[in-house]
Amino acid sequence: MDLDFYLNGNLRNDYTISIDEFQRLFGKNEERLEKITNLLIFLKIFKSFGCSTIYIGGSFVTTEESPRDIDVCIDITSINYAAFKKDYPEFFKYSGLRKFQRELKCHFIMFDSYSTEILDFFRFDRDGNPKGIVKISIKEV
Amino acid sequence: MIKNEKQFKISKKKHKELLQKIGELKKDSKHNPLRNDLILASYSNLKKEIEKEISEYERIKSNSGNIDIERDLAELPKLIIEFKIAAGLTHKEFSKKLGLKEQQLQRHEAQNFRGVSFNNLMKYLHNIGLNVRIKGSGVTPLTRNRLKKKAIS
Repeated sequence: MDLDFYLNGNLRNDYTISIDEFQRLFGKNEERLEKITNLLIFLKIFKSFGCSTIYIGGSFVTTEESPRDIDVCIDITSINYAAFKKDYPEFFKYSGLRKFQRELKCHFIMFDSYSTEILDFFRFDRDGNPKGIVKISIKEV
Repeated sequence: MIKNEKQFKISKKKHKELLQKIGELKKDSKHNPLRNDLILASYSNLKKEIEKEISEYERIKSNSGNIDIERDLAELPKLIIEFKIAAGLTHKEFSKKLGLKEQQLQRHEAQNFRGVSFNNLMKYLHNIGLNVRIKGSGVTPLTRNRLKKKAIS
């Protein structure tokens, strides 16, 4: 699959791709690949608690060479909250999420079927220009 | 990093929307409290991120003429953008000062000047009159250039 970008580097459309395609299309250099490797660790955790879909937004899904981090929107609709909290309480705390962002460069936004409008935060860049996001099924992770 | 007034206004709007969502979540009693905690933590993190950028922009803007010129090497690209904010220059004025076409500047800005070679970066900093001091080195790039020239001659 080829992706279509605006001249400013933003994606022209939303795309649905596999995790392998995501690595191939957005892991263009060592720095990007390292961030994807970190992300994969988290995705395995989310998957084990019932999550099947994530969305990637922000500068990571643009043509920018060195995005600071990956903005990951996690669909928590099917997550077993109690089991997840028992094993990973840090995801329920602002300070825990901050640490993941600082140290592993993964910026998590949680949403469910009642709060999908948060995805629109990532559909526009800082200048208000439209920007596509990427939907990934993590069943194969 | 917020680079201009337009971006500043958009960030303020996003911040306001986020505050509203956080307020609604805190009052919500329809859903599982753990679901709300999970979403709330992530919204709070996003809010903090936006607040950090807003206050950084406000700080740079109010500090006009007072830019910290002692930086790590990796922070030099950011310094160029800070200069533009602090000086309150338009895109056109700034591109002229840097010796760049407006379109080139737009491209560099979109990439936070990160794809620019070290030599060009130094040239731009020189054009805008910033004689930066690289942290830990004890010498300014201008001193470094003088030494280099001396060594060649």
